[in-house]
Amino acid sequence: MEIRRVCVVGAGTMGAEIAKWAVQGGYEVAIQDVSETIVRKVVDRIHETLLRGVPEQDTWHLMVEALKLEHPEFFEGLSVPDISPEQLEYLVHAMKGTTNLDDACRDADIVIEAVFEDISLKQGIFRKLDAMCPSHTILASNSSTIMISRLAVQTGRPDRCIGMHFMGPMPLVEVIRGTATSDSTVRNIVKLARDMGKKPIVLNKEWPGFVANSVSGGGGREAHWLLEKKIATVEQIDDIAITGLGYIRGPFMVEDFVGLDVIHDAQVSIFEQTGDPMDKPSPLLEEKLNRGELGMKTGKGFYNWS
Amino acid sequence: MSIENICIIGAGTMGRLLTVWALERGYTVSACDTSRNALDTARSRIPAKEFSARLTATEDMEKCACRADLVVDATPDNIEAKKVLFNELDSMCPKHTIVLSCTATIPLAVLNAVVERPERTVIANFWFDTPLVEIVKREPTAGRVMDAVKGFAELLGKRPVVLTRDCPGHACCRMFLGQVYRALRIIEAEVATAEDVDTCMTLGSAYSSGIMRRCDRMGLDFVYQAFLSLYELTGEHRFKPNRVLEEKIAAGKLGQKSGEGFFVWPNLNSAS
Repeated sequence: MEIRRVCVVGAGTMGAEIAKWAVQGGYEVAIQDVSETIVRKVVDRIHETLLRGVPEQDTWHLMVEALKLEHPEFFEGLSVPDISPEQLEYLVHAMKGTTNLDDACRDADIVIEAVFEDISLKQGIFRKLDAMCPSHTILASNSSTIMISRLAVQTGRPDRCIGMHFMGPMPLVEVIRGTATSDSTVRNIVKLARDMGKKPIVLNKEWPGFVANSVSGGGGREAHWLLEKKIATVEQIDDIAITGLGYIRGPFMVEDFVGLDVIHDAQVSIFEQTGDPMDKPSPLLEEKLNRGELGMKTGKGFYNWS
Repeated sequence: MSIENICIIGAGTMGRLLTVWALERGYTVSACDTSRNALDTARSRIPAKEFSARLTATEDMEKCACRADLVVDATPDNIEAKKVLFNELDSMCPKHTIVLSCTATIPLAVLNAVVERPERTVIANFWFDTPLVEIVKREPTAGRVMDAVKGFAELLGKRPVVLTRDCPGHACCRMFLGQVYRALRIIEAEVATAEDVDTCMTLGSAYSSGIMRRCDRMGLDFVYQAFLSLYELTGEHRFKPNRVLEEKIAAGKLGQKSGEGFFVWPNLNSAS
């Protein structure tokens, strides 16, 4: 099966990036969001970035640029297919932004769902997509915590449902097999990820938090414990993580970037899945949330950003 | 006070690194281990010949401890063995000697329970080939001991982080094992390979190197012992050594030093 058309559902930060990478990868893209304003903004920004070369200067993109300089070997072999400037221009102009889900997905070969991390919202979207999309269409979810099998059961095509977890602007894409995901679905998603200039890693099973967030979260959990018990300060813990453990940014700095509400939601979701007392959300995070300190975006989290 | 003679106990990965660093900075070093084999291996891996006049390697701990200004314990984190060692050192060392433990997991109070001069016991966790040294600054370690050890670490070109409280695993090893235990469970459940775990960490979570390669470089016997010690000290289930790790060790796959761990490594001697 040839994959040509990609539909992205949800035009938040991640959805917008995914749409941009798919265009760069040579795909015809449609992006849908419930907000007309957001869809317009995203389409305009992709025009600016891809046609006028306006650089992306936000913290995450700058961090990736620094990583490229420091560790060029991580990026070896990652590239988008050769497409001519004319073809890129055509694909950017052909990109469709809409608030109508049916319009966006009805001729798609792959749909990537990237809406809020809310299971009933995602389940509803998977039901709709299953009814609206052609029978061959693959339904992928960018969820960072929800198991794809819980979305796949909402559809009549569990073999064509798969997890496709992007991590901000980082090169990794975790491709997660659900209990019924077929090999050809995995192959198609792996190819799409490569064409987007990403490094796909296929996870053979669903796992709470998948791999990257689970492992780094294991360190984060201890970092919170150390702070709670006043063994070390935020700055010291970040310093130790960078100097001794190979972090590029310390765990608290990263949590402030990502948003403490997002981290907390992820911890809650993992805890619900494992029921393991060791995975209980950090009480420190709950305190921060109660005070409205969500990290960089509110000016205060573990660090002061204002 | 000035440190000239250093006695380094334990000729494993950390002991060997410390021996080289101390020799490079002009100290006189006696390397001490109960195993002649370990000493010979360590000696063969110490690069420059000009150091040999300042280096002695011996199985006789008393002989070198009684002349040392600084004794560095770089033995494995076995709680009972450390208690015996610190009790012996307490009676062997002259009054002025500083007794430093590089333990990655054992808190100061555990060591001090067996000594009569706790004011000279200090913990400085030299964390392998990284610049990090975690120093535990707390009672009853004397101020002069703290200052001397901090100065020593800085002279070796390290970056000390001084913690005013300690806990099993201190900060560094606790965070490290917190990651490793999850990584091992992922490998055990065959969700992903060690190679894929490392890729997820570098390309997904922006680490400068993957955790499983780090384990291999430190030595899987070290990682296992650290888990075991932390499990004994805390009773917390996540620190219970994982089956995957036990199997590697049983098969003699200790990481870089044995040529294979989670990855295959080129020969250590020919590489250096």
